[in-house]
Parts: sequence; C-alpha cells; structure tokens
Amino acid sequence: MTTQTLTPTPLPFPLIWADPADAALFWQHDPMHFPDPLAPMEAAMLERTLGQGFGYGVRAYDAPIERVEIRTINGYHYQSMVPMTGTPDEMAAQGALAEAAIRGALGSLDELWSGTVLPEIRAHLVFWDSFDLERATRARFVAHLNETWVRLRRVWELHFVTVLPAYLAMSEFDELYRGLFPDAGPLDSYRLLEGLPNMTVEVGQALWQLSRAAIAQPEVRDVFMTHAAQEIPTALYATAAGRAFLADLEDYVDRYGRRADKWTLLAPSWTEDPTPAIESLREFVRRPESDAPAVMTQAAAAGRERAIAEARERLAGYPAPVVGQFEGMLAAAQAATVISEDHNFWIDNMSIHHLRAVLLAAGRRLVDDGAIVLASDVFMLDPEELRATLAAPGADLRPIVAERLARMARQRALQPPPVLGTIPTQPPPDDPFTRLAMKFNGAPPAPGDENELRGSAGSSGTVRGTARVIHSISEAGRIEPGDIIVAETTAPPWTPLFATAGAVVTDTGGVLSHCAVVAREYGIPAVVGTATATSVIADGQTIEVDGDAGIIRIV
Amino acid sequence: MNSTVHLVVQHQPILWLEDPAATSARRTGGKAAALASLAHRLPIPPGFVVVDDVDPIAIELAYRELGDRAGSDDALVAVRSSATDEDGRTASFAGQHETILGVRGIDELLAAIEACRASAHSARALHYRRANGLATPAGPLPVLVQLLVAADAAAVVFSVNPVTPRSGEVLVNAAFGLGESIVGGTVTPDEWALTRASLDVARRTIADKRRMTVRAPGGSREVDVPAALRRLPSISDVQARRAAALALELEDELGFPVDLEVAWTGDDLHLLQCRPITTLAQEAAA
Repeated sequence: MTTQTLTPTPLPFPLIWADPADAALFWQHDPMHFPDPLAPMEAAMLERTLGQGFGYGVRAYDAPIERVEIRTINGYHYQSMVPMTGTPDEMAAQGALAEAAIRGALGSLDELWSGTVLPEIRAHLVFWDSFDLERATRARFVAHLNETWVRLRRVWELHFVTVLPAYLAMSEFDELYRGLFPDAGPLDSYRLLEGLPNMTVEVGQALWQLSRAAIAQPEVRDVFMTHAAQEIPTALYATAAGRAFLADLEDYVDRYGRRADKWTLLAPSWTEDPTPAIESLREFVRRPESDAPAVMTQAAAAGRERAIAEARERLAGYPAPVVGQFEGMLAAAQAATVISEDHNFWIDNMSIHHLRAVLLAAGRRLVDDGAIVLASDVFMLDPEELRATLAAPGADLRPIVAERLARMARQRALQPPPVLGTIPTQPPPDDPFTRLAMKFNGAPPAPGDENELRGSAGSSGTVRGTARVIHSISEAGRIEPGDIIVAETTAPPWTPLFATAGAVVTDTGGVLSHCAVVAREYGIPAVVGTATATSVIADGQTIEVDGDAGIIRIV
Repeated sequence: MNSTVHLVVQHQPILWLEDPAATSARRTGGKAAALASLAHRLPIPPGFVVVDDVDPIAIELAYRELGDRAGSDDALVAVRSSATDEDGRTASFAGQHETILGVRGIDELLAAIEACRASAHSARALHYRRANGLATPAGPLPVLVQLLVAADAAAVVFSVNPVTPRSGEVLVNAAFGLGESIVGGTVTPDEWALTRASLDVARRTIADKRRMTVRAPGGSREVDVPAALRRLPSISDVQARRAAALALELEDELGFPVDLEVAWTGDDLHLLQCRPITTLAQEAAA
C-alpha cells in the first residue's frame, strides 16, 4: 500500500510503542471518526466498543483478518487490522468461508437488521431509559454502571455484525454495476440507492415540520426571526403560543436528540443542549416551502427509479443469472443504504449518548464526594479509577484530572501521521473487505494542480460558493444558504446543515462515508477525503466544488 | 418426401424451416437444411431461409409472421449464412461466414442479409473455400433468419470428444449468454465430459468465465461477466446430460458424429445448429 503524508507542515509526533511488538504492525489513524485527542474514558470506550465489536464482526463473517487492534498513541486513535497469514490453500479456504458467510448475510440484510439487531438494541435502550440515574443508591448505581459497559460491548458487537455486510453490500453492488456498465461514472451506481426513507431523512423532515408550525404562529415566527439560537427558548417562554411550541420542540429533541456532535463523549447531546437543533430550525423558518426536504427526497426517489429502469433496460438481453445477480445485489444495497443511516441513529448516537449520561451522573456523585470539580472531569479518568473511587469515596482526583487536561491540550497541537508502524510492502489484496475499506475511508488523494484540491467524488454536481471552514456543529449558525461546508469530517447530527449548504468538502472519508451518503440524499455536490481542505482553504474564500470529478477549485 | 410439394414450392424464394422443401441442402444450404430436417420434432427456434434474390416486401412479410409467433412487433432475430456446401461432412464453416445476432426491424434485417451475402465473397471465406477444395459460390447465398434465443447459457456439444475420439466421451462446453463467445474462443467455457455409455459425468471443469455475449440494441455485444458469477457453473449437470443425450440421439439418427450448438432459456433447451464433426474425418485420413 503506498501512502503519503499530506500534512502541509509535519510537526514532531513522539513515538514510543507501549508494546514493542506493535512496531511490526501497520497502524492507521482514523481522522474521519476521531480527529481530536481522546480523553482517557474515550480511549477505554473505544477499546470496549470499536475494538471488541470490530473483532467480533470480523470473526462472525470469517473475514481473512487475524485480529483488530486499537491503540491510543499520543492521545490519537490508531487501528490495525492484522491480516491472516497461511499457505495459499489455507487462505483460499478462508476466502471461501468469508464469501459464503457474506453471501448469506447479503441475502437477508433487512431481516438481520429489522428482525434481529434492532429489537435487541431497543431492549438495551429500555435498560438505560428506565433507570433513575440520580436517585439510585450508590450500590445500585455502580451495578448499573458495570452493566452499562457489558451492554455497550454487546451493542457494538451488533453494530459490526450489521455494518460489515451492509457496507459490503453497497461496495459490491458498486463493483457489480461498474463491471456491467464499464462506461459508468464513479457515482452512477449510487443513484440507484438514493431517496429511500431512513432515520437521517426523518430527523430532517420532522425539523422541517416544526419550522412550518413555527411560521404558522406569528408570535413564534417573530421569535425565530429576531433572536439568536441561544435566546430562542427564553423568548418563546414569554407567550402562550411560544410555550406550546416549546413543548413540541422538547418532544422533538426527546425523540431525535439523543445524539452528540461527532463520535465523542465530550460533546453534549441535543437533549442537554438543543442549540444546534434550534440553529437549524431558525434557518428552516427562513426558507420557502419549495426547499422542503421532502421535495429533495422525492426528486432523489424519482431519479433513483429512472436510473433503475435504465439499468434494467440495458440488462434486458442479459442471461437470467446475471439479471438475478443484479436484482439481488440491488435489493441488498438498497436495504444497506437505509441501514447505513439508521444504525448511526440507533447504535452510534444512542449508545454514546447513554454512556455519556451514565458517566456524567457518576461525575456528579464524584463532585459531591469532593473528588473532582466538574462532572465532566469524569472523562479524564479510566473506568477502573472511576469504579474504585465510586466504591471507596475519599480520594482527591483533582491533580490527576488537571494533569490529564493539560496533556490533552498539548496533544491537540500535534498532527497525527496518517499511518505508523510497518507499512506493508505488498499492494492491498483485491478482496471485498479491502475494497470496502478504500471506499469508506477514501484512497489517498491524487495531487492537484495549483489552485486545485483533489479528493474522492462524493456526490454529483458542480457548485460555486463561499467556503465555511467549520470544526464543530456549534459553528452551524455561520452557514448561510448556498455556503460550502468545509470540515474535517461531518457527523450524523450535522445533517440538517446539508439542507442549507450548497456543497460539502471534507478532509476524510470515501464515497461510502456518511458525509457522501447524506450529500447524495440531499442532492448537493460533495468532494470527500481531500486530506487537507480545512488547512488549505481559507474561511470566506470563493471555491468551486466539482462533485463528479472530486475536484475543488479556488476561484 | 413428396415430389409434388417440391414442385409447388420450388419457386418460393423464402422457405420456412418446418417446410419439407427447406430440408434440401441444395436449396437452403447445409446449415438450414440440417435444422429444417429436425424442426418438426426438436426445439429449434422458428425461422425462415431467404433462398434467392427476393422483393424486400416478401422478406418483410416473413419477418412480420415471425414476429407474430414471438408475440412481438419487432422481434430480435439472428441472421446466419447457410452456404449450400456449408456444414457439409467435409468442412465446417464455423465462423467463416457472417453471423449477425440481435437484428431488430426490417431495415436492420435487410442490411444484415446483404452483409451475410457479401461475406460469402470475403477474402477470408474465399481463402477458406480454396483451402478446403470448395468451389466459389455462384448464386446468392441462402440466409437463415431465426428468432434470437434469450440465452441464459449456451453450449457446444460434441457427440465424440474430438481431441480423444477413443475415450468414449461426449463433450459439453458451456458458458453464460449466447454461444458466440464459446465459438469465437473469447471465453474459456465450463467443460463436462460424459460417458457415451451411460451419460455419467466423468469430468467437470468449472472455468473462470470472463466474457459473455449478450443481446443488445443494434445487435449483440461481448461484455464482462460479473465477478461473482465467473466461477459459478453456467449450466447444471442435468442440463449438460440433456444436451449430451440430444447429441447422441442425433448422431444415431444421422449416422455420423455431430457437433451441436444449443442454448437455454431457463430450463428450456433450444437446438441452434447441428453438423458433422469434420475434424474426425481429417484425423482418420491423416
């Protein structure tokens, strides 16, 4: 695998292997999900969710991967998929096992998700929803915390049992489509998967409905037209109509707001701080009916049906096994597209939301004990320290917390290299798992001309607009209609911004990344995986995004 | 055969395959005549032979009638040359004369018939004829027009293994789609060797089949086989056995080893071509 370091000015990244054997492995940083240094509790969470769950999924599908290792190096998340080794015969046998396992799963994706995984996830959510974190006795609280970790691990096993075949379905459908139609562009196969109902779309449409309700009430509408997002709840509270609307807004946040900004424990859920949702709502109130997300979804659905009809017509003279393969993979990829969004809502967002809630409740208990200053200091501890302190109050953890906060601040200035350890000398194998990884994480971008930045084609179309370089959803208010979002990565809670933006550009990700999938749903151009957009493009610059070619031009 | 029928039809420039007159190789060419002699009892795609120069209107009428049988206004057809000495026992013209698949509409059909006839005089065909001691054709070439089979898979079947004639094997070479990729050698087909005695599968080799010929607007096209299907069997053992049985039946009836081209739509078998295995005679002579 050839890799290149694309950071404009590499900073020293001190490297001391925790285990000397790690130096022999090939480590990849995952800036798409974890661009920032991790707090100790986050590192522990990733070990128990991502590390354990990924390994479980790999074994469940007999993937030719020996094991998945994750490490936190200088605060940054690194991951190594250790490939299986063996004689050619052993490898071929493993490949056949993996293919059979995956083929079985692809044929029943919807059943796997709706029939098996989601019901179990809902049962875990009931466990968290039904527990009174504040009033429980210390003993019962500690038991709840312990069980939270156990259930979290199980939820993330289910996560990978679901996403591995789901993303393989989309990736392999794309391979099949381009094999059948060699003249197809890089985004053409995804047109057959657009505009399907999913939770991401539902969250946006429900917010749009709220904005229409706000417009219908002059008192409510005035509040949204004249106040900043942070002031809106207080202003609404002043009138009866406003209070009624506030109740609807709370229902919305309760239903859809168990989601933090990015995959971190450190950011509040909308249930804690609904400002990002109110920010989007404030923007929606200013938009005409013709901008309704439903209009875009309908257009995407119509485009999807046209693309499917066209493909079927082109396959009319093909042998039945080929047509059968196409129809089977299309159905699997469509189910997978919905699952790729819905699993974020039900698993990623919900499980991190609940873990954060339990840990903050633990933090409040430690504050009462005098062990830490702020409830959020709990994230600076590791799970063992937390367990010990809850069991035997009296320790003063303030010096440890202060030291670790300072360490994280220092780590923030580092630029983590994309890869560490021993870089493989052989090209990556051409198997479904590797092809999927390339499309999810993105391939290293090709160098562009001057005033030009290259990435992967993410969503079709060309648009010119003002670049808004944003690092967190709290900056959402700066995005005016038609602006181009330039971000390291976009997490699921950012999606309402896609209704406002003219296009989106990211440093990380590939054609199957969440950002690219959602951009296609919203019908806006996207270029993903540029590696350097947020450092090369200046806020306010006029740029042109060509989503088909994967090129950004600085105008 | 009834000679009065012969006299009645003698001046018809278009002969349907089920017409007894079409069984005359002198009139319809070797390929069409062989099929015509089997048309009344074997699953041969319906079609007609354009024997002589003829008013295009007559061809259009025949094409419409063919379309009626297929339930289509503009049926997809295959147009093949059927030189009077082609598919005879001494020389196989496989691939030497034009075959045009996926022809749709009367204009395309007239052009395809013209192209087929022109190919009889092509340098390649004339060279082949000279090399095999055949005369240069004088009159117009008979051209066979048949409904194009919607082939899920196709096979070439040899009632005697032409490579090892004494092995007592029937050989079936099969691949996805129309048979052109097998005949043209652009795909390595799956191979079944079945015993002539009991039609047991002696060997089965599933190949990595990278290419296939499919029906496409304006003709046929050779395309890549999707990766997931390449190493899957193109037909079942049951289908291979059925094709082998047909080859033995025809060999028995005609009295010489035969080489068939067959195709399947689902489980329905179609016989597309039947001719002697010419290389066996050459080997015996050598």
